[in-house]
Amino acid sequence: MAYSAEISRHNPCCLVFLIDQSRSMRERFGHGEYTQSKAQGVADVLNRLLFNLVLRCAKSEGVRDYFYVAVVGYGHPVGTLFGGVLAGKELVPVSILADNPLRIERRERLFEGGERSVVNFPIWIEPKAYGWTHMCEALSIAEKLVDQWVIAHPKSYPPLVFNLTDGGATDGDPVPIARAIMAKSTMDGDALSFNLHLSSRSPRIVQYPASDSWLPEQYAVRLFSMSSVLPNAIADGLRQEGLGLQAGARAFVYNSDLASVIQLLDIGTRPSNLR
Amino acid sequence: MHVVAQPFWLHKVGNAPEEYEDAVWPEQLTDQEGKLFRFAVADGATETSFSGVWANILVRACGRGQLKDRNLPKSLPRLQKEWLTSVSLRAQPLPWYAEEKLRDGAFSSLLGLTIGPATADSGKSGRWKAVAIGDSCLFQVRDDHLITAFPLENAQQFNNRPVLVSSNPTGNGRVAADISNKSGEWQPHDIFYLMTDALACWFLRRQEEEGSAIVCLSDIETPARFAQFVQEEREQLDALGRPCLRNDDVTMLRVKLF
Repeated sequence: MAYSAEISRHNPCCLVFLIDQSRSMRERFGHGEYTQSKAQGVADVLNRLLFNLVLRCAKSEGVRDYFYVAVVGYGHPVGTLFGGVLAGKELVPVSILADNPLRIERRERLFEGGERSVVNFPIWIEPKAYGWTHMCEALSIAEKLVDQWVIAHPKSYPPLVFNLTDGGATDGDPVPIARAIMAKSTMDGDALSFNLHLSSRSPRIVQYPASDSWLPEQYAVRLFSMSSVLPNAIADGLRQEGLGLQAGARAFVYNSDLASVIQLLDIGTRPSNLR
Repeated sequence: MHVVAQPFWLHKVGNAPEEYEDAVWPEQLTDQEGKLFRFAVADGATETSFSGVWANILVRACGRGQLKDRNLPKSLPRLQKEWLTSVSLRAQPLPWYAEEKLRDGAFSSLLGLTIGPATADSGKSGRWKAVAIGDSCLFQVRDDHLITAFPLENAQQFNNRPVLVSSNPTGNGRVAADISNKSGEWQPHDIFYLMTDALACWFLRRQEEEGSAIVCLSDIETPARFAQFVQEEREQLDALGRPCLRNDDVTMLRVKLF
């Protein structure tokens, strides 16, 4: 059965995040309550995601390398967004991430039951919005990382690639590169390509469509065609959150707000067999 | 009443034995006469830290009769303090993620069984009662028939997000609503099995599909035989290509009444 491989230290999982850092990411989300820029919103979400990944892997004796993570920004320049000690490193095991954030901020966190407490909030990714949308260049880096991964880890849960963008590529047609990524596979299935479109305008969100019929713009149709069909476990996770998905639903959200980004990243990076 | 309780356990493949995070009470073979007996198993959640410590605190409290019947939440504060004291004594200073894990606390399932004395009029049978949070399960077998499955009754009911009891006081918002209680009658020669979820799911599925789970387990008398059985079932695949027994810490306590 596909997408059921156990995630372990012997069989880790590869996560690649591609982050649009073009100039237009300075704008705010078109809807939702988040008031800062899309660039800041995405940086906050990614830092929170990495924080949660580290905690999921942290055990009494240390952090177990269940995941290897890459975060690639595309604006100007294009490349890994890890800095400090991790500068220049593309795919980093979660234990190394855990010990090397850029800094640790202290932020207030609301716990179940209403209690508030000031907690550690490590920062790995800084917001940036400069340059054009060099999505093809970023996808090529992802393709290289996925290719190396499936050769080195043939039995692993398939690599997951998440692309967060607010528009179309300005450096060519990204579809062939995305399809090349989706064609790479481990014994457990094909690599998965998720695309989240972040909008500053229209409030109409389109979540996980099975068809591109309703998509109003050509670049949205392209992003749809770059998106994998959701595996059952991920689709079921989204249905449990109250979303009605059709058969063949794609890993694509159009006009996403920050909440949808958080939701898909959380469910998409939570393979059910890491209990 | 004469009771023989024998625990069996094996850690997950890929982990070291000391990384096993289930717990069982009693930890050793027990062969005793008595009027009342308590047993427990617990399964510490993989994604939390020091969950094995928490699971052990829970089964010990259960086994010693320190958990309030039908009001488990009121018993927790003292145990939560015990957990925090135990883990806080470890290496200091803690990395930022270890601080956060302590703050979040550990989570565990819990299954407790109390076998009461024989009733005065029968002299040979009596009452048992059980409490459960999460997906560790109790199976009562009589004459090679499964007569009770608690709290889950079929393999389809297992999922990856059961409600668990937390060592953090703020982490138990849903626990009170998800505690299950059950009672029933025991008779001489009944066998009770307490299992953590991976083996419990295997048991129900094998019993549903082939009716042979009880016979399989009756063959196991030693830790070596248990380890062999677990390995075989982890390697055997079902019709969908999945292992018959999911790779996880495996714990079974078999309680025989005479």
